[in-house]
Amino acid sequence: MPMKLLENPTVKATVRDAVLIVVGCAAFGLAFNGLRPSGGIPVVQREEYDLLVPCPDISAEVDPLEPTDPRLGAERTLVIDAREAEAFAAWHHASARNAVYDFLDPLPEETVREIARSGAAMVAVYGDGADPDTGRELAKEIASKGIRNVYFVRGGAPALRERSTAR
Amino acid sequence: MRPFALALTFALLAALPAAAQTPRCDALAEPQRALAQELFKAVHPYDCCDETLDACLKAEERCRLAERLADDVCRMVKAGKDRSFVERALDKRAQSMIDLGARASFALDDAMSTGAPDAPVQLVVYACARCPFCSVLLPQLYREVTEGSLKGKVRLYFRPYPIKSHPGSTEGALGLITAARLGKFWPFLLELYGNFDQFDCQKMVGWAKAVGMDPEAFDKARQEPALREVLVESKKEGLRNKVAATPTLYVNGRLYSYELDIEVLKDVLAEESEKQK
Repeated sequence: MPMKLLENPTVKATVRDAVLIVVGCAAFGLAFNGLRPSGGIPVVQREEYDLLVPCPDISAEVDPLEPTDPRLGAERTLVIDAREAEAFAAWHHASARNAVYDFLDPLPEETVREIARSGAAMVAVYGDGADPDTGRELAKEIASKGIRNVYFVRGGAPALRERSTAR
Repeated sequence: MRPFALALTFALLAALPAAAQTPRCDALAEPQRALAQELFKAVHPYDCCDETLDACLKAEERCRLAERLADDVCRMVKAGKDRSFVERALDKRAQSMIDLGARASFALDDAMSTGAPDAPVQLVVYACARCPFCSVLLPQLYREVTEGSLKGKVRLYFRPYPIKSHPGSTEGALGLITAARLGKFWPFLLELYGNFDQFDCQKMVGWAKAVGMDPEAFDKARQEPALREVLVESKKEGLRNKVAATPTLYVNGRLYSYELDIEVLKDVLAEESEKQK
């Protein structure tokens, strides 16, 4: 059957061209490699490749937002409180919704989808304001899921609360 | 005959510095040896000698660090690294070995440590139970610290740092903390990493038994909520110390940002040990 196919002049020409291209490219590659100053990349790798690399933690970085920033009250800003439910119940920013940050477990996919579907132009996350700040960590995790314009509120809930009390 | 003898003498003198470096440097082929020489003339050791590496190596009293750095340069050159790579790498080594700021602080657990208690070097490693690199590096470090060239020089501390994107990382870390509570931390860690590709939360009970723990006690203890708190504190500590990946190492409290190859680590830790004496 393959031999019969090769009798077809179109197939024959295509195969010939393919072989010529492959041989030409290989020859060009080998010649180019041979011209490298270090003597070229070995054609056969004798040593094992070093494939091990450190495992990155959540790598997204987020910018801070001051607790006085007027964008926190904007209509298209989604404000997220990263603290435990009890702390959220005791006090929270007027427009905030609660999404508890866990240092060990990943953010539930459903929460990520809800944030993505919210249509918010900006996501502002605040947490306990400690070191490390749960707000900042949650903001990093949300940003690492591909959501844009994610910020954390500097100083977290204590700073926001202080500002609301002062007003 | 006389001009020939003179030429021979000059040739031998010219070859002398290259021949009197380290065995690794002496074994380099000619083009690589030339690159190493070029680097020796450009690089300054970060301690012990103010001249270039080349001058430090020719000094009457050679400093040990100059020899170490020369050997490191030749290692990289032999591996085919170019000049800019080697220079950048040596900068990282310097940053890892010089006090540049506040040292990291840790709440260390002796149950997760090994090595001589009075060792001059404290090596803290943040690692994830499900990190492939950690599964290779930790057993290597353990062997070196307990029976290899780092014995008596380094005390190794493990700090659990589960990576969220690794399935099973929390369960693995809880297993390690449980093993520490039951006095079998290192045997269990070696078992856990030795079975890295077969990891399963339930299999951990069998591995606990294999290293001499009571499987029921292990299974019960690893579910205690207090252990989760211990793990959260370890993760928070890592975040405060700017851990961004696993494994992350701290040498006497300084963040180590140089190569994680065991041979390089042995050299760097031996250097630190000598510095502390």
